[in-house]
Amino acid sequence: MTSEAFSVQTGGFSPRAVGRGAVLFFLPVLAYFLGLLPVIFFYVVLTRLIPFSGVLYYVFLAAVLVFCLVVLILSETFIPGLFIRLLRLRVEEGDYELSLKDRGFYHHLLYFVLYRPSLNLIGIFPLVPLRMAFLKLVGLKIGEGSMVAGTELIDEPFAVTIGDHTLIGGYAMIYSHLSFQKMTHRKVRIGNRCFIGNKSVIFPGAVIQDDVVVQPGSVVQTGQVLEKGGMYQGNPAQKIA
Amino acid sequence: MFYIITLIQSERVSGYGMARYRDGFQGGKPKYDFSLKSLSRGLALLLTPIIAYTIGLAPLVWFFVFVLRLLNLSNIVHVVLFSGFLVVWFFLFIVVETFIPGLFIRLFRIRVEEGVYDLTILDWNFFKHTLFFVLYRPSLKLISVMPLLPLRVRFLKLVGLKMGKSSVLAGSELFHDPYMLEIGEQTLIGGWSQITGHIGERKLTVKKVRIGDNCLIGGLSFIMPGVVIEDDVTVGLNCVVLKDMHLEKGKVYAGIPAKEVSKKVE
Repeated sequence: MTSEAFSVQTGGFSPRAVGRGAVLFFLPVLAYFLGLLPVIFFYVVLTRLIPFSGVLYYVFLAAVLVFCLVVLILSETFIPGLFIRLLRLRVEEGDYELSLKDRGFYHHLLYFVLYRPSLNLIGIFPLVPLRMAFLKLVGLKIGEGSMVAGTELIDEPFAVTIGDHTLIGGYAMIYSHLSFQKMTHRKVRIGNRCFIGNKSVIFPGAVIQDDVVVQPGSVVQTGQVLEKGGMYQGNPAQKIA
Repeated sequence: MFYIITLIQSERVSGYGMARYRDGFQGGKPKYDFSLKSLSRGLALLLTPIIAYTIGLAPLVWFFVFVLRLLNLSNIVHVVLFSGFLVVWFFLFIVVETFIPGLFIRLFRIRVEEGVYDLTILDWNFFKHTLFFVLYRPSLKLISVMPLLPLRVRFLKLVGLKMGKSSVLAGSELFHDPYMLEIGEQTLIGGWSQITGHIGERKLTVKKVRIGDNCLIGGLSFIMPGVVIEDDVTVGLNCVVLKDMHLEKGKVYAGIPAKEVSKKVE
């Protein structure tokens, strides 16, 4: 293999690359700026309303600060999420160059800078229903009665489909992109009544059919199809029952 | 009686005076004593990061107070401006509090050369290793709060990472000792992989890790000190490369411990 096969170009200093780089920096700044507005507003309004003085003032102030923290987490999570929803940021299946010149790669980065800090923020406290609402907002298709554990990492929710009554365990990772030489995007499908064990890793293009159990710590490889009703284990995942 | 004699002997051999000894696994080895050397080093470990963060925070606090005096929060326009200012201030906070500890590491040359050292603060190299740790790891976590990948690479190079221009890091990987690591050109390091240049077993062993050109290090993999990875090597996901292993050119390795799986696909 020649070494030219994998060369990363950030796009040089062409107007398009510079513009895209600026958007990558300023769009999150704009999103967090809008997300911070309600927090500051609530803080200013509530501190004015405090009727007490002395010790009670500080007790009330502490309550105001806790309330502001909750508002901060919610608004700083859902406003970047709304940006993703409104701008319809998503990457279709396919291969992309590792360069800002490539629109697919640029959209991938834009999604990444808006999605990941928000996901970390909502992961501070165990707010699982809100986390699922956020994941649905940014494009995850998840059926009725399904649950995520709250510590799992779904790398690109728009490319993942989860059926009904499925449980995704803690610290599981579901990827839908791989990058070496080129960035490859493939969708991941998970069926009904599945169990994805904790700390397991699922790679792009994997299809997990109905009633499958993936044991904790197993690795489902690129494009692997786990057949209906099977139990899989190991690295790489093999059928054991 | 025998126990007391051995205790006295060990004290005499170590020469550390009123030393505190480790229990269990490394029983009988001194951790620290109350000599001037030990106390001053312990204090340095506490105070150096505090000094670094104070130097970083001082201009930021000044900037914050300066802007706050200009604003009148009863005005709705000023509330909007304040939110925008806070976002920019937070970004500045991340950058400054990361790079000033980094500059400390660079300016005072806090690094450990290859070798085997005692696991005690009385060993100068172990002390430097600990000092590097307390300055490096919080900054690394801080810069990882947001996906600021170019700045993260700049920080790692500041504290001693040698990396080719066209190599890519995933942004969630963990280099325990960047100054012990050399990465070639056009190499990709996957997410959540760990590369360590030291290992603490009875003694602290510090050894270099070399990664060649055009390699792919899979996510979640763990690379131990003394490893040499030649050009065009692929290391699979969740792979553990043991101490002093030599991965040969153009082959694919996977598993725990790493085994050759195949030749690289052209």
